[in-house]
Amino acid sequence: MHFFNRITHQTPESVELEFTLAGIGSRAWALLIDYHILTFLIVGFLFIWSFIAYQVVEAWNRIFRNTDVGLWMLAIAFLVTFFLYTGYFVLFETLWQGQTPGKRFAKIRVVRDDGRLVSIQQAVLRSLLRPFDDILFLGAFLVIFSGREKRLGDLVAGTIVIQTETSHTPANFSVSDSASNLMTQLLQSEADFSQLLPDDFAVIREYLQRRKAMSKQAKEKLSLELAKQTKKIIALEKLPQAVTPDTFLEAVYLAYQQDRQ
Amino acid sequence: MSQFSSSSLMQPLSVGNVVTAGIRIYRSHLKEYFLLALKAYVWLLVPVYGWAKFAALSALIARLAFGELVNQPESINSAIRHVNSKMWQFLLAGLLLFVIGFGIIIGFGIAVGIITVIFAALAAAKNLVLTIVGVLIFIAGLFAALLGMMWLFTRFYVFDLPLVVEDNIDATSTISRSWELTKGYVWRILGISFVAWLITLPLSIAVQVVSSIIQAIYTVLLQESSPVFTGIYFIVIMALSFASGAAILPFWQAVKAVVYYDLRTRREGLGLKLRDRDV
Repeated sequence: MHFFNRITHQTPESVELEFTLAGIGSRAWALLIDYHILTFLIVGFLFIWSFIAYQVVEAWNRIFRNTDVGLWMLAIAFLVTFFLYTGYFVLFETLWQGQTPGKRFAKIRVVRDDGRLVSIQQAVLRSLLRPFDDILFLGAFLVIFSGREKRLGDLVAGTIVIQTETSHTPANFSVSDSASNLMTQLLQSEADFSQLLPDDFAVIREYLQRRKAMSKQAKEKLSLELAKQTKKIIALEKLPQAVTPDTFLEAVYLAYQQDRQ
Repeated sequence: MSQFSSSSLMQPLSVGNVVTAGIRIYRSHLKEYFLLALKAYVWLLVPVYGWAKFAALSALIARLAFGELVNQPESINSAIRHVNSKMWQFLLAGLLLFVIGFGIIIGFGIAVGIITVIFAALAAAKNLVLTIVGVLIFIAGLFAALLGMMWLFTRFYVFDLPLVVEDNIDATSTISRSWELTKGYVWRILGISFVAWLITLPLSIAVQVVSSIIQAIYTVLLQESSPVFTGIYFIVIMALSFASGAAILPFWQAVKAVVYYDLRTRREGLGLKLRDRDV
């Protein structure tokens, strides 16, 4: 079962590009964040502007006795609010390569249908059509029910919203000293690391990476299970020394990398 | 290539992807889940036994959704058999949660009471600075109490999932499992709920509009008040609320199943296992 829409695009050079579409959840999440920031900006502007406008109107009336200036101040406020609303998305999507603060947080990005970066043209079209998508949640329905998850703005501008691929995160866990000792012993022992496939290594690495967030009980059970299986795979009869499953897995993690070099 | 093929490990999901996965599971089983949910709502009319049925059927939807997530889809019949054997446990878990929720709300009430007393005492001094301090304490305290209440409720978010998915779990241990799984992930779950709620908004607004139209028609017809019209009115309103409830329930249950799946991935390393090599 596919939980996320994937689409492929073939370039003229016959290179196939594959994207995972953002999905309604991430897009709603990004919009939620962006609209909060935008509301904050607009309210802040109107607050400051009301002070400025008040002063200007007072001064103007004292000098020229012309009362129309209040309307002008209001018109400027409307205009600036409109520019903030559209400009926010245009500015960020052009400068941040298809991302706004909300999109960055939700890990999604706007690109053109063929995977190229969006330019100001697409960003403006998307931004101007945004109000129509917001009316009656039209955009939300289009994203949920259309195959390529395009709202009106995307249809007109020829863009799609995709997930920013999470490339392999660098290892950010520390390995204990006893594990490096054990590694040298393992490499000298009869253990056969060629039996350990890249997929298995990835699982061990993933475990070491994520173990901190795990509950104590589950971690103990899982590490023991993984250590037992690993021991069997690398055909290790007996451990050189008694160690915890975690240390053993760390040692295997190190030894596998040494073995490949 | 599927998201969960062997080469891509079962990675934890982002907030948005939890909601997307929930909605896509529901979409691909729209009719089955909707009919189950409708059945659950009709059972609500029967006291006690029906309520247990409601709890069991909604948990059933979550179980089916979880089966999709771990790539072990289950037929409705076999899932029903499993769920029916524990039916009363679901009611019991629901009742326990109700009592806990009641306790949380009473605690919230007490907290608000204390804050109000502090505010009143400070305001009574008729000193401007003290009054301002009082107002600030009142706002901050109210905010903290609200957050605390939400935090506590969220710890019980997946309360029925362990009972319906795992073995050897009963009404009390399922609640403690929820407490344990949600540890450290409360704000995440709140974010997910908020996004999910936002997505249900169009439907709720549509239902609101339709029911107010019906109400308007009813008030026009009321002028020639007859029991027949009143009867029809109540039936229509009831059918509408059942149908809309049944449309949204599977969505929430599916999202809950994804949250549970994601929590187990994060907290227990669900799916992290080496491939069997008995060949």
